[in-house]
Amino acid sequence: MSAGLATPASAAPLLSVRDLRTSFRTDSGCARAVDGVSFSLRTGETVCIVGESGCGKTALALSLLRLLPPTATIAPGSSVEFEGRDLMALDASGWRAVRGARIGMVFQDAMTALDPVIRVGDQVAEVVRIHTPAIAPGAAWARAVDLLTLTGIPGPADRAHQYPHELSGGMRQRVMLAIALAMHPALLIADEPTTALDITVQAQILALLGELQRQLGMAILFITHDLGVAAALADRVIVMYAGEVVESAPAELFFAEPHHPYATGLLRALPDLSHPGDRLAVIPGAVPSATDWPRGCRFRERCAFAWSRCEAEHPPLYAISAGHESRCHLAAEPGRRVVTAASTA
Amino acid sequence: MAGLAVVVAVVVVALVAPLIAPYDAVAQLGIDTLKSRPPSLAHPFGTDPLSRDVLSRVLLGSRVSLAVAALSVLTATTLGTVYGAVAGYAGGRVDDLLMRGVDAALSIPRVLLLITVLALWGHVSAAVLIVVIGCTGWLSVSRLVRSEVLGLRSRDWVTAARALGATPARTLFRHILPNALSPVIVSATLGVANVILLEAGLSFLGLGVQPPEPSWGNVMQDGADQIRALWWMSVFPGLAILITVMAVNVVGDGLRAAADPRRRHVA
Amino acid sequence: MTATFALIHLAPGDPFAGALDDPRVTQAVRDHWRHVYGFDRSLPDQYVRFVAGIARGELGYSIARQEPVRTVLARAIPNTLVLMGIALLLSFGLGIAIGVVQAMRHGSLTDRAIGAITLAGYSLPDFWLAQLAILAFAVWLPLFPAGGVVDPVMHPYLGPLAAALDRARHVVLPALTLTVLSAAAVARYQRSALLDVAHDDYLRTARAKGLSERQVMLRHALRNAAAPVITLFGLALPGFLGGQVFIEKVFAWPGLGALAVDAVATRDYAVVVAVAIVGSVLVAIGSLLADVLAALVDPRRRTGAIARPLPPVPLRV
Repeated sequence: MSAGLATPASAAPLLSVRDLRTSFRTDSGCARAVDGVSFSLRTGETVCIVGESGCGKTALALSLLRLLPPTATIAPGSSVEFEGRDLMALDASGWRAVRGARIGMVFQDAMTALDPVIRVGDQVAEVVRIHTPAIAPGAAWARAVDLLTLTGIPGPADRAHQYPHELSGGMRQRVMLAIALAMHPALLIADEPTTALDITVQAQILALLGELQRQLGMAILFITHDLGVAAALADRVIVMYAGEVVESAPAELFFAEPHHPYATGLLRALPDLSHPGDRLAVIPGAVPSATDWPRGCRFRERCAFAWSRCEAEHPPLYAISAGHESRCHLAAEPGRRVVTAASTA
Repeated sequence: MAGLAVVVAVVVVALVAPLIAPYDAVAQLGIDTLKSRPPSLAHPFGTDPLSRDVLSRVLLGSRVSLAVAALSVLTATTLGTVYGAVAGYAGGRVDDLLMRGVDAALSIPRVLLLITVLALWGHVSAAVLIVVIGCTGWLSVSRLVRSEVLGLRSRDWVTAARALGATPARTLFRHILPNALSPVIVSATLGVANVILLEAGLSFLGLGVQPPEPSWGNVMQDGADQIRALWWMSVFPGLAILITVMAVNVVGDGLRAAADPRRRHVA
Repeated sequence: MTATFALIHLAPGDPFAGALDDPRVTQAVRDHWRHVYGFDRSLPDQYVRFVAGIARGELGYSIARQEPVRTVLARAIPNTLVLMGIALLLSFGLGIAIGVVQAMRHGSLTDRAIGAITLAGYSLPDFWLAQLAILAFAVWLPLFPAGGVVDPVMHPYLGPLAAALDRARHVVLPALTLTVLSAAAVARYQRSALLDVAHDDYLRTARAKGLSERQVMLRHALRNAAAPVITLFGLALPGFLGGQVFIEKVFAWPGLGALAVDAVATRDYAVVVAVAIVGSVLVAIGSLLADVLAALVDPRRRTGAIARPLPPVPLRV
């Protein structure tokens, strides 16, 4: 559908996703969870994909590594290029060389994402052994302990002998990070890695992530529903709604001048500490069903500005300014924004 | 579906067995030449050493086998449900005590217990068999029901019923047990398959239904000591058991899949 | 134990029913023998003596065999354990392998075909399969002996190697029969336990690490499915022992099962009770072992935090 996001011509993108479509077979029909998503990511860059649950952001993350359940299919026209290779054309052994080595992944709930019956040290060492066949078991274990040290686990040599249920939530997520970073991947995909954690632990993990990114120089694709987290990390913010990208902008620009009514709604729903006592704004309604996306603009029914064009015509991604795109007809008819967008502080 | 069709067919055959059996199952045909003969057109399943028609005995035997299975499972399920429901609903020390007893009793291998009891009983009728198998089969049912009741006890609608002043008995039987029913039905179905095998085994050892009344197990027992020569005395009744038990198990698996959609794969 | 005692004495008849009911035996003679063996005492008195005897490790005297029950058991137990050990090892190996193959091809034709076979194996009457095995491999195709532990005539004359071979040949049919029966059950548990963990997140993590499907299955899925399988088999152990009773009887394998059946036929109380007790002890040891093993493979069980309920596979009890 639309051309992807503008990237500076000087740097070839590390990851380039074009028209990715992923659907799931469900009892109530075919759910088009990811419906034509395009974006790209440069080396060392952090992109945050933001959206409510059900918007397709997790399906997007899993599609990139082909970790989808058997009920899912990726449409043939989809293209994912990573380090100059077409990932969609990889066979099973090609995937094994990418997963865990060039692309690491951290999942939302480390409690269930770690194998409950294997010592965490072995779980970290396993990824080292898989991708370094010649390594001696002792060396893999030593490397695992080093990685646990790197991710800031206190007493790593002892902790390595423990099982996931013996660790705290924050420590488990650090183990997940150690697994994902073991082979110094060029890209880290993090799917809501801090959602299940206490707010203080969340801040620690985010700080650690930033620090490790500086040390290892990797790119991060960070999936979250939390704009606060995006503000802390992102170079670029991509907002997803109903399986599509609805807005994409460099982080400063996004937080200063959001364009899409859904994005402005999300920002107004954030607590604003400079005006305590204000009531939070909420976006009325809920995300439509992925088996039956509405005609025209998918946000139309929850949008304060919607008019006839929104029902008749599915909006394309309009270029607002350099590197800033929005899937809203207001970009073509700005005068219709009768209500001034709330200030975003 | 296929399983259900076979089960229905077997039950129908058992009901009309006296009408369709080619010979009197107990009558000795040709007393002058008392001899077991291999299958022939006149006797498709052969005859036994007392010159009785094996096909007729298998057909008639299905009545005893199925009746014992159905009634003893009914007994066991009723006993086990009441016991398990009381333990699960009472909870605490009563539950501990009741279930400790069940655990201890379950460690005695049921077959050993049954052969001991039946051997000492002397003449075993179908009624005795039903009582004895029923009274040793409720233990595992009670475990199942107890864990279901324990899980349902703290649900909102149960609390609501109690808050509205329902008596414990009413709460248990009207509000909890109906919701625990589907696993019990599944376990009862699979229990029927199990008891058909058990009854056949006991009769095979001569501890089940006493001759001349036929059951699948004792038809096989009649040929057991000459199995090398009289293969038909073992093969045909055995097939009848296998087909029936397999069909019942298929139905049980299907019921469980319907009762527990999250685990549909288990079937 | 108490249950055993109660059931035996609730049932009509006693060991003399057969021999002493002969009308030619006078009541005086009957009373004499009942007195000698203590059957004329009151039930509570008999019960106390029964319990006290067992507590001292005295299992009594076998009336039918005219030797101490302990001696009879000492002969039978090793035979039972040998058969059981071989069958358990084989059926676990075979059953787990079958379950893994089925789970990896879940829903395929292979899975369904194997499923039908294991369901049939699970629905087979134990003693019938034993008879068929004898018919097929001892009568029609005389590859193996049909019964016993050794060749009753030639065994004493064989050299050590030939004697060992003779024993091995005798164990083949009973062991295989038991294996087929319990491998079908193990395969069903294994498949169901593997499918229960199939959607767990850590398997996705393993794939994200770059493991192949095979490695995911063998290193992660199998380990997580092991504890429920072991626990289930611990619970199914009484049923396994029950099946062995029939197999031993048909193959004339002189173990506990055949002993129990024969003792029942001769109303040899002491032996029957002793076998029931030994059987229960075996089951108790087996359950304990299963608990220990399950805790070994799943560290969460050591602290009592079990993550999920057992797969709902029916047990043959």
